[in-house]
Amino acid sequence: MLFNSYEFIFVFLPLSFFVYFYLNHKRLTIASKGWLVFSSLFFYSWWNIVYLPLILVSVLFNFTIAKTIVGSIDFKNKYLSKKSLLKIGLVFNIGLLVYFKYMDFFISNINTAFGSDMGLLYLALPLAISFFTLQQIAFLIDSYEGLAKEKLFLDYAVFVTFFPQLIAGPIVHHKEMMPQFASVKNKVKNYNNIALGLFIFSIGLFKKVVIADTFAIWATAGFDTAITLNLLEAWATSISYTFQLYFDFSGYTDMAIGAALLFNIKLPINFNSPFKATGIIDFWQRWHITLTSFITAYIYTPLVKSFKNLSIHKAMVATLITFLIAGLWHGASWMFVIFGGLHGIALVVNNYWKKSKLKINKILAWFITFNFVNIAFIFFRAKEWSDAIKVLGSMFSLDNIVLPDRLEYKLSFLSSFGIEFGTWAEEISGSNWTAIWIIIGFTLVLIFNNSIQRINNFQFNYRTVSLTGFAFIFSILSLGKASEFLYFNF
Amino acid sequence: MKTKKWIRTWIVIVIVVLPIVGGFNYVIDPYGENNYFNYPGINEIKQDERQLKFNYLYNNNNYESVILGNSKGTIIDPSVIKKFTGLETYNASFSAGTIDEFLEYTKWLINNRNIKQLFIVFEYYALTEYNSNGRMPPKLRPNTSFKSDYFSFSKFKSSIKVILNNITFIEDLRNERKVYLDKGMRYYTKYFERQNSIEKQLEHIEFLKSAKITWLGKNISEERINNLKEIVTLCKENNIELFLLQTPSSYRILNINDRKNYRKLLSLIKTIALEIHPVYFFNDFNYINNNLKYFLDNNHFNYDVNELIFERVFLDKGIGLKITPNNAYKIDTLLELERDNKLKEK
Repeated sequence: MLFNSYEFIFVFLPLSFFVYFYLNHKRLTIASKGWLVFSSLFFYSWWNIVYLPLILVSVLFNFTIAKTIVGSIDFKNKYLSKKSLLKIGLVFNIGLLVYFKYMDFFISNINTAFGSDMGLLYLALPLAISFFTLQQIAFLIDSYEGLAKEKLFLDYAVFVTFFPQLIAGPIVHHKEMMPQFASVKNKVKNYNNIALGLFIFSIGLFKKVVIADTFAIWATAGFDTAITLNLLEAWATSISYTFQLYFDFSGYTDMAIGAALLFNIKLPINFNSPFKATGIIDFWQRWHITLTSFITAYIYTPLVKSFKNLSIHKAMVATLITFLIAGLWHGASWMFVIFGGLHGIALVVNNYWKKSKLKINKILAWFITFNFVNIAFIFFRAKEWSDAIKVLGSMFSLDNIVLPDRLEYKLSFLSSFGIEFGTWAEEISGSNWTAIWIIIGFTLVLIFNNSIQRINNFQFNYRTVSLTGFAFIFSILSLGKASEFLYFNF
Repeated sequence: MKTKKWIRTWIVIVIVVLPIVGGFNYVIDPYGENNYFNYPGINEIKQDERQLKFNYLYNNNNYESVILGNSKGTIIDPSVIKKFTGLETYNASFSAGTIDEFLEYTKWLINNRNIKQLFIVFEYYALTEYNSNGRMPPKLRPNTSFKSDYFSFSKFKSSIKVILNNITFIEDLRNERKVYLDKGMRYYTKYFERQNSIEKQLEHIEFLKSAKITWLGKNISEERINNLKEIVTLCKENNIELFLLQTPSSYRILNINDRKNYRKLLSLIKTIALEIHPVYFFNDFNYINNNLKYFLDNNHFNYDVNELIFERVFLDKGIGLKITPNNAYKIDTLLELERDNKLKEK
């Protein structure tokens, strides 16, 4: 089920909310947790019930392994060490991910490399597998290190399946979630949280339905439909995608945070105005923050620890490896590996630059960072190398410049340099509105406070209620055909 | 403001505004989908050509021949066809019509009417992935949900537009609608104004020489090719005589992009003729293509061309070619001429 659908907004969310608090009101706490798990699994199954057993098996298996690791089941000392159990758990989770997400990718690469003809499996990617697998890997490692312990299967199931964060994060830790579910205070309706939840959910819905889906039109046309692009079209395509991805994913996260707040659960923030970043290190501290935390804690740190005689150079190798893995986590394609590799290299450069203590003008630093991020996202979006080169090549080609025809009168002398005047955004199904929206996009990401900052200074008054009501109503009226969130594909 | 009051206010805003918008859209009914309330001067004249024509077809049962096409199709005068066939003909063409839409109309016509002839006027883009975002009438798109339609901001904008148009341009709209409903063809008053003045005609031609031109559609859609095959099959099964027409464009359109698009069009026509159905093809750089005086704009021929098109269809003479599996080589000849740079506009 999509957050931006009528059935979620008008039926599922209100129903799950009222039943949950009704059961808690009647002091049926186990039933309320059971209801939350049931409704979350229903939410998951709405997409495709075929994969319901997969998530159930995954949850059950990880719970059993974790419980065995922390010593609640006696046979561990006789047969398996804690470390062996952890390894089994990791192999299971990574194996699941590899089988469903990467198998065809590996097969096709083997076929290409060795000229073999192994058949592809054509498996549909189970929804949310990348997210619930990461979350459970973190839980197993935390259990191994004594940082997490879960006795009841129902509590563990709530932790993994809680619907606001199930599909595309934020990636949550057991230790930050379970105390909230256990708190008696949180079992009572909290009007402050409900109001804040409605606010942030409405803002997120607006970001997704009104802003991201508008940029999607030009990004999709530029990447998927256009055969050639002129210079302005290429830049409009790449920037449209960059903004589409940000407003789509941060909109989703806002909706997740808002929906969770209705249940008195505070999810971690995932975005903190990433396009205000003035360096790539800064960018990754602001973009998909929970993923950055995960890869730092569970990939980068163990890698660094595995090196003998750690040096800055070795740490940079670890950074590069970590980001290649993070790139591949996003999807089974060399394009994602390139995306991860580019960011890994940029982080290495940024780290050495910081170490050199050289100064750079802040605006120039922002300019370089934004353009790097924008260019790297081309590889993130492109289905194939040729699509990426089509956009990237046109962004830096001076052979194909078409300016809006209304400028012809003033800039006609440019014709002698081969510059044409005409419908500058035709190939991306755009118009002058494309340029206006891009300006609006920059204004929103650079000047305005982000939704989390707004929540921290939130005031309950007529202005905020009107703004929230307007955002919600405008989004509902713009829903039309609910479109999927981009991060559902990862 | 207290939190509870804030929440109550939010709920009230949502509960009040959403039904108002939905109700307003339902009452104004900008596309003429429910016809619950038609009030002169407010919303009597709707704005959607597809819906308007479909409503007419829905309410009139006397047509034996129907034209389905794009905006170029709307210029065809059905009485010209009647002159050749004797059949009552209605022009149900609409802007940017694509094959998937024609298929839905064809199915509806077969299930609900007893037609003997069907003319499909198509452009290159009709068989590509091009999406016009045209609104299919609800009866032809049964999966459209009620809720998403009326609780829609775009429909709200259309409702406002309909009211403004009805208040401001009522006479023009009435005249236009009359022609739509009588024949289904568009009526370009400026064309008739130019007929009495050579000066205006020359001015118009000069204007067309430098006017902005575009070519729609990029990659051929397999799905739409299959849609066309389905139309052909349905017509055969129901004894409907089917005519596929690729009507004239000006040489300026055909020359776009160093004729790369034109070569794609030729290949498409050959594929259709060989694998699906014969095509009446009018873009062989004939004297109509080459003379801008036959055009309303670079893409749309004018009323003078109607008779010439149907002379080829029914009398096998004049401009254009009927491309069949037996003479598809004519397309190859055009391609060769094009390759050798011998296919020239005058």
